[in-house]
Amino acid sequence: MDLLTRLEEAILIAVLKLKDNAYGVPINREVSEIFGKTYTMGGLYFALDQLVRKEFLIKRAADPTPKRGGRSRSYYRLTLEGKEALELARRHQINLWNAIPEFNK
Amino acid sequence: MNKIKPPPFASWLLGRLSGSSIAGDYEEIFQEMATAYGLRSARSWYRSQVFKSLPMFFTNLIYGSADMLNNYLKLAYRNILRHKRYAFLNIIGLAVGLAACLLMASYVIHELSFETMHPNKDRIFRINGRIPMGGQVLLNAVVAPPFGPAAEESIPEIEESVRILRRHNVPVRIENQDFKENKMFFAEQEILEVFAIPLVRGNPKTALEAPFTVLIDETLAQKYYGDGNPIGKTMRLTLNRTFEFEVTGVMKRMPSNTALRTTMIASFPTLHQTHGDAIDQWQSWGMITTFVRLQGGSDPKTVDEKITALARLHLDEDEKEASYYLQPLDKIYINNATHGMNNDLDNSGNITRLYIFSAVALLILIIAAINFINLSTAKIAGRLKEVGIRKTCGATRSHLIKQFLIESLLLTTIAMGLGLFLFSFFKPRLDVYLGKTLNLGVLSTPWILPAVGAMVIMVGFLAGSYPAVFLSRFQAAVIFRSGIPRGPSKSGLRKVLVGVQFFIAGALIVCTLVVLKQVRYSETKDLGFNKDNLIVVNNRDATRLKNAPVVKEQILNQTGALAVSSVDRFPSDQNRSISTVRLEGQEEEQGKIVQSIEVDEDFISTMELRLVAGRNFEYGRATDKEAILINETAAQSLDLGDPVGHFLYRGEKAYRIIGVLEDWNTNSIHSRIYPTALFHVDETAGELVIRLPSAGNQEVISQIREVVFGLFPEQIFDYAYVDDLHLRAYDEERRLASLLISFCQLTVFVACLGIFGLAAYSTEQRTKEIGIRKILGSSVSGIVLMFTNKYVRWVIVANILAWPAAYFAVSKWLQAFAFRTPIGLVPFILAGLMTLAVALLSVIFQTVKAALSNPADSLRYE
Repeated sequence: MDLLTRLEEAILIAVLKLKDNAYGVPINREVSEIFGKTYTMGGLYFALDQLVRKEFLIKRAADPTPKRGGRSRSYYRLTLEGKEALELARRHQINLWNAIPEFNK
Repeated sequence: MNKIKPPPFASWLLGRLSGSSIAGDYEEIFQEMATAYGLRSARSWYRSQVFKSLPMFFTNLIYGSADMLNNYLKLAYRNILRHKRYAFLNIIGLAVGLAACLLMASYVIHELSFETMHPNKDRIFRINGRIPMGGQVLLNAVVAPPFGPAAEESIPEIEESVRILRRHNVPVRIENQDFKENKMFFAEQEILEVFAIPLVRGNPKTALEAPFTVLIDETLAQKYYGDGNPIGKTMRLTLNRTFEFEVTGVMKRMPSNTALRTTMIASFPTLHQTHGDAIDQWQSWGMITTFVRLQGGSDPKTVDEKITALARLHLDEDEKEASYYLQPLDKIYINNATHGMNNDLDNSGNITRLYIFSAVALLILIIAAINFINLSTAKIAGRLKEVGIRKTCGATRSHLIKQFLIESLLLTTIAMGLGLFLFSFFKPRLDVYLGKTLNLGVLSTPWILPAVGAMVIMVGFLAGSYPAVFLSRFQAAVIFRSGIPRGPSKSGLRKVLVGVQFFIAGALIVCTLVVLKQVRYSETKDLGFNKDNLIVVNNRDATRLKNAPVVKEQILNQTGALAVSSVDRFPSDQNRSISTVRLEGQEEEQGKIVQSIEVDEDFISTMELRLVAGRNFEYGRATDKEAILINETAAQSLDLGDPVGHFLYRGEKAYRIIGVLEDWNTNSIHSRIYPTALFHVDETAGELVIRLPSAGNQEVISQIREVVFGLFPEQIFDYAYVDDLHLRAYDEERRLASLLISFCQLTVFVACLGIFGLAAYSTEQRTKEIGIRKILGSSVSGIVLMFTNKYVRWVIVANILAWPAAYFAVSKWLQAFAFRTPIGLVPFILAGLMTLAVALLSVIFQTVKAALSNPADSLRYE
């Protein structure tokens, strides 16, 4: 299994956290908060599409709303593989930092 | 809430570029921003997102569908193979167009890049004079010899000055071999530093310090001395006499985009030895090109005033009217304002010609691009079924759009690649042809690849977008239900495009024909004298030995020459000596400028000029030394009823007019016939005009050579045919003509490719129609006529529209000549017939084939 990039990791976490409200705008907000920089929607969607392609996320189109100029929202949810990948990333992270105990407070 | 909307166009674009749900996100953020920061900033943010989403769009296009891309490429490849002929025509047309355009561009860029290589070029200027003379102002690029050093000494802004004396056609003798160098300089040591001329060998600090030292460039070193070290070797140069020079250094070959280009620089102090004091005097010949380098930040305008003041301090009373100014180095070569500069360093560039070339280059590229687009759109209707099947199999519209675009981009890329290859192939040949090194290369010029890349995208999108958008719109059901639906009715646009191509081709052909006609006219025009079998022999040593008559007599007696005349400064091309003459009682300012030539009694008979009034110089009349002959133009401009017997004054000296000659073209026919005065030459005449018998020219020339060599063993025998001198004046025009001819051929070729492709396509489309028509009794000729009819109409209309445009262009060009060929109707009619003929040829071939085919074959499957 491919390793996740930082952005992908953050997106997966954001989708988990947002639960039923996981679509473009709030995901972008979450991720931007974590990293302290703004992503363009294009950049974000590129990563989202990538995750969908890797089958870590599934995408579902909701009904169009007038607030969005008559355009539909795409909602995302984690797949089992997605959760596993996130688990793995977390384990890697812990293992990595365990190597230098003085950083673990 | 609903009133707050993003900018509609940007919104549509975003939707297109990034897909519906992302666009929805943008809109949501837009709404939030609008409430938080106001509509204005929200809108501008929204717009900026369009651009920000572009890179992602492209990445997605490719990355997001690597497999699909692969598939598209494969499809494109198969399609190209299936429509080999179209693909071939398309690719060749565009490639040729691009290559031609780049070749033209490389020339134009070369011409515009003059003097850009010198460091400090912004601070280098040339001192030019404006000299009022007979009511006109002459621009003069040379000044008195001491001008430069005096200016450098007394004007603080001038940091450095360089004096250059230019010499043409200098005979060179190395051991026993004779050469002739087209151009050489005598220049001060500073030239190496100011113009940063690198030396391959020799000391750049001292190479030009001693008299009779000379620098040569690498090529010349190779030519004269082979591979060895040429430093310390000697050569003999013939100036006013023949002197021995020592080579003190080897220069790098100079680039061709500098007016200072030369292969040989001799030291300036040499001139002190050869010309004595004259070189230190303000009053002596102003023949020195003087460059100055200013201190950083000085204003050339204030220096103008200072140098003018300086000149007035030193120059004679009658030259006080002249003013002097600094001309920036990079304005020397191409500058319309200084057209007509006298004694310029080099032939100056011609901005009009650059305009012509740029226009032609652009036109060819446009024609090629039009063609490409035309052929691409023409064949789309044939692919409707493909579209239907793809749609049935689940292709979305965007898939199809991408497929068509990628196909078109692939074709464009191949064509441009081939174009670049053609360019690199022909570029060295163009260099050789022009005798210049054009510094434009596919890899060495950084902007070419990006520019060509941009062109690929532009042409590719233009050619691909129409079929992409149009075809992908059809629904599969519609396509199959009604058989082949009516193809796009854009054939009107295609015809217009073909029309534009033939408009350009027609106009170019007219221009070329007129240029050719003028060249022909220049070569064959009756010049008023007989220029056949006439040679001019350089006889410089006679000036020193004062024995011109002896040489003349010996040549007459000992060789087969028919007639010989001593002349001083035989005029040719643009070179002419001028003097101011005035009538008795007139002030100096009322004087008229005349071209002056010093000749002897035999000039008229040697040249075969015609005398219309009075008499020729006669032997034995001592008073003829103060006599003068004038031409008709001079007689007119002096406004004397019968000029014979009147006196003309040159300076203080009076000359009696003894005869009037019929006008003849002393110089090239670019200029009108000047008022001309023939003065009597003395025994220092530096040239001989000799009429040879029409047979055995070479033999007589070698006899003459013997005579000259016998009298002046030091002198290098140097002669030229007047015929050649005359033709050389039109080199420029001939070169333009041959370039235009090649580009004409290209344009016509590319335009023909277009019309050929279209005709092929439309006959293919209408095979069944032709079959039915034949069954119903239509004749082959009737069918051919029906098909060719519309093309013929368009070509004729295009030609008629092209005529005024071409007429305007050529009459502008012809203004460079004082004597012009009448434009006449012939070029126009000929151009029309030519375009019509090639258009018909490319169409008829196709249609006849189609019309001859058996209807049973074409209708078998119905």
